[in-house]
Amino acid sequence: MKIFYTTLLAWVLLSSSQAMAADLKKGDQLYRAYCTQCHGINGDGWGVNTASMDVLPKDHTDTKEMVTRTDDDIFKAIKEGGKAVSKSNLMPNWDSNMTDDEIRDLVAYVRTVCCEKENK
Amino acid sequence: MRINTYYLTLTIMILFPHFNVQANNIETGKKLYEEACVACHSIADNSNITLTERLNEKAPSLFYAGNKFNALWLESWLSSPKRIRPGGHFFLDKVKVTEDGDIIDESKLTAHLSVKPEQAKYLTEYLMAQTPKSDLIALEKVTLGKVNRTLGGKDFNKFKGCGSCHQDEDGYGGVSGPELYTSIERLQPEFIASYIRTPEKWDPKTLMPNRHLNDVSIKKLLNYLNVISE
Repeated sequence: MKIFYTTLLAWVLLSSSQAMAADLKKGDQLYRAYCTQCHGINGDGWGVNTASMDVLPKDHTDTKEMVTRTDDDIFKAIKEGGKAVSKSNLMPNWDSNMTDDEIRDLVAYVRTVCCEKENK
Repeated sequence: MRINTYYLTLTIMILFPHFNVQANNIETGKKLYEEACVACHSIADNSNITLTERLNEKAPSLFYAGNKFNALWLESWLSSPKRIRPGGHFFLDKVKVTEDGDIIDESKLTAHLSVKPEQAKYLTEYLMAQTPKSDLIALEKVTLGKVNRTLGGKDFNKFKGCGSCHQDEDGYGGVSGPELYTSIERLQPEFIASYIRTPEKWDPKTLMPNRHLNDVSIKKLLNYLNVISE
């Protein structure tokens, strides 16, 4: 019986970590496709489009600032745009480009950009 | 029966010579397209494209070219092409990270090949025959008008955020999307209106957001594009 539970636990842990890895990989691709043009290749807010912008995009590497945002805040900002979270309208709503699941993958990836150092 | 078909074809050729010439031109254009364009462009239905496939595209889809371009502009551009997208079709692999922020590494941009004017004519006829999305075009009723340039610019840049990715004058604006100060010259106004309204219906993995704009807002943007194109 003990062996059964140990195997089950190992299986659950393995599958959840695999799911997590897959989500982050997807989130990484979505970040590169939709976010880097403004938020930058390194997520520092200095993307290729920023030269003529009136409001600079959020620096996702700013851990201190980013830990004050909940996952729900980030999800809402991506899905409904900056205005929905009282931020700049220049951050558009991406609700027609990504499903809710994809946005969740993206939120998980943004967390690695901003706050991975904290977890280490 | 064979003789009848022969005479029927002959009669059509005599009565409608233009129809026959056009069909031949499209066929010639198709051959040219297959020789010169398929290495980078696709003309296949893009309805089920994945994000990976979209990001790996070398050049824009020509699936609905006939619903998109102005034929006169297309023919002239094909024989003397000029860059339309400052960052290329997809900017990411052209980005150079610098201390002053990310920039487009222009050495990584490739020039579009040019064809002879005669070839451009055939290619244009072939591409303009690609009209799978005429139903979307039929939903748009556009009459181009004017708008105050300053107010239009504010709307374009500040309120709608278009300037984040698109240039509304040479050298000013975002670089990840195509320049828009030549858009009225290049594109059918109904296509622009429809693409603003529902970009994902044209390109399911488009990098452009749908900002859920109403008719008045779309008209205002089109009028601004009209003003800056003059």
